[in-house]
Amino acid sequence: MAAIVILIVGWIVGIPLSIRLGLAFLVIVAGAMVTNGSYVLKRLATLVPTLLLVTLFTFFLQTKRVTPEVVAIRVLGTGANADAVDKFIVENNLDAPFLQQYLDWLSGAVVGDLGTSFVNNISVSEQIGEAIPISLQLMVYAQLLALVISVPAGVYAAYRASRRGDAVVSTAALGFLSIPNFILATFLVYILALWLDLLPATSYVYLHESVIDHFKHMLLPSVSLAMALSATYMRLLRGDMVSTLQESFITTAKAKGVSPAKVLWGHALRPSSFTLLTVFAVNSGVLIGGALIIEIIFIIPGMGNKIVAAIVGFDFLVLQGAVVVLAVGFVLLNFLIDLLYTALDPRIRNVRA
Amino acid sequence: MSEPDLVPDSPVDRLKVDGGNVSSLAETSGEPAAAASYQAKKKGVFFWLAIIWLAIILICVLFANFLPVPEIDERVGDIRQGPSSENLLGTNNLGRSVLSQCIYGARRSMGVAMIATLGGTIMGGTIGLLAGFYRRTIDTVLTSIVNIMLAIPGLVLALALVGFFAPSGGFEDQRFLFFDVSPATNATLWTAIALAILATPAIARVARAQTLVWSDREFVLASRTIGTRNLRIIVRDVLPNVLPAMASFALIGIAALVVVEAALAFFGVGDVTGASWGIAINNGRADLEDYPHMVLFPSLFMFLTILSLNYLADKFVDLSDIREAGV
Repeated sequence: MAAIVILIVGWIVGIPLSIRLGLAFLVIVAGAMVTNGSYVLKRLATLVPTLLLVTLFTFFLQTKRVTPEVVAIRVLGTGANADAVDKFIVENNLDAPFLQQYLDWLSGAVVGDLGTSFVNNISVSEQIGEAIPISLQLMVYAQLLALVISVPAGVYAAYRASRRGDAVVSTAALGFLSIPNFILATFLVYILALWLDLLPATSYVYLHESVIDHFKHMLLPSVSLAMALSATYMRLLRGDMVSTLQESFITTAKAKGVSPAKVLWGHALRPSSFTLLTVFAVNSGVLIGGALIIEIIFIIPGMGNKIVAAIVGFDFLVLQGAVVVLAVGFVLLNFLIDLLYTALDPRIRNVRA
Repeated sequence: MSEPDLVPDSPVDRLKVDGGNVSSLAETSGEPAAAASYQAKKKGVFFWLAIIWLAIILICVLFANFLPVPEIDERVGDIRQGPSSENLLGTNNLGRSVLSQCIYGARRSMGVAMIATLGGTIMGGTIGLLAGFYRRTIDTVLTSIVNIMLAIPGLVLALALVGFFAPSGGFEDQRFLFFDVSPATNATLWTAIALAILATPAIARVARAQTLVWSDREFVLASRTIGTRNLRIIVRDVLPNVLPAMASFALIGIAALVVVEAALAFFGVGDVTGASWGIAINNGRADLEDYPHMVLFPSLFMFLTILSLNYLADKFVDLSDIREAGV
């Protein structure tokens, strides 16, 4: 809770996003330490090697395939003479041994310096720093929308399990699960933007420029991203809830005369939501991928378009930086969800403690 | 792949009746008499529709050049024509038949996804079986490898692999491992490898979880007691029981990888010169407002294929649950 407060207050006061996220992260870790110290330490011990290996792997990919000459020629142009190529390699320290290059890069990356793009001489961290809040917005909107759709649908389907209402909702979920988000996005654009002219088809408006325009532009991307997610969540929630509803404490509640709505929302929802929460986190990988594609379709200047520009322009340092930032963010998020999980599910807390 | 054994040997002419005469299809489909009684009730019409659609797609994958459709790069009429009697699904921005793009696209999209899933199933299955069977140190090591593979978001990993190893435009020394290949083939091969790597950790997790359960059963203990070697126990006793869950997951895997393959086309990495559903959809987007058919039909092919795979995977889980409950 305190972490969310930091995020919101920091946003109002105007602290940079990275600092806000860092503070929120520390608060959550500290909170978990208080309730369940040994478990947090154990998870932290596996977190560090994972992060090191992920970055090492990405770095390995970049240097192993691309020889320094190739990078130099790509950047300087095919007509570059040998002297210029040599000079470029020495200047950028490209001929150093692999491990040393990695350590150099890592020592910079730890303090937030991901190097400077060979192509346009802009700091990689700066480029990614511009793009990532936009991608985050899209992901947060999509996740919220997916929850808003899936929780009532899942509860309803579990309540009417194996009857007509369940059949309709479940079939619709299977259908939405099978529409790739870029196809859904394309057709939403065709119907709502081009044909009916209700919403803008592409581009992005910053939140501080115009709140209404911002959400108008983000609606279609978020919906395209959220539908498949909500289908996944709904199916999970339905499955868990159907088995929860057969437990004896539900029968007890019903026997006491608790109203069906109270039983569903008050008694059954919380014990049914653990799988959903886990998948909510695991899914952020799918979500990141989805957000990248959706950004390309709607020409939103987030990480997706950064990556495409880097691939097309052979801007390997930016590509690597982007991959590392996404991967590290993903690992940290999974770590956080693990901690939250222990807070929510007393069983895990007691077993591990 | 698990598909061929799911596909009934139905005559081709009946396959052409897609969606038409539903009830007669369900009656005439030649099902073996054994074990039909409880399964027939469970399967229903949609099961067979899904199988028929996948059979059509499989025929497209295997025999695209023998089908009576125009060649993939043949100019069949004016550009961007809507559907007509000559060109059933219309023509694209180069005057090529959209139907051919869909049929040949199936070969690329499904072919890559199926090969990658097969590769991922073999790698993931091996990891999962070893980890689940031997446990202890082997399990710890393999599980942490899998966790690290899962630590990079799937599409980002695929983008990184294909983007670094097969950049569009290609390097001067374009080679796949030790073989000289064209840039297009190189890109396609790296796409398949990247997708196989994506599929591996998920399948390894499923295989491991199932192996943990099955290797505790009495018949495994019995095998151990009579001194059977571990490898033989894994292959003869554990693997057949783990396979149904892996097969059903592989179906979802194919569905997911088809989407990733198409997504890579949107990013412009990999081979973007040939025909695949993703490329066809991406090309058509520029003319979406005036000529939606160029996007609609490849999308429809893709949607129906993914829907069929997901539906079959669901059914497969249901059916194998019943079998397990009967034990």
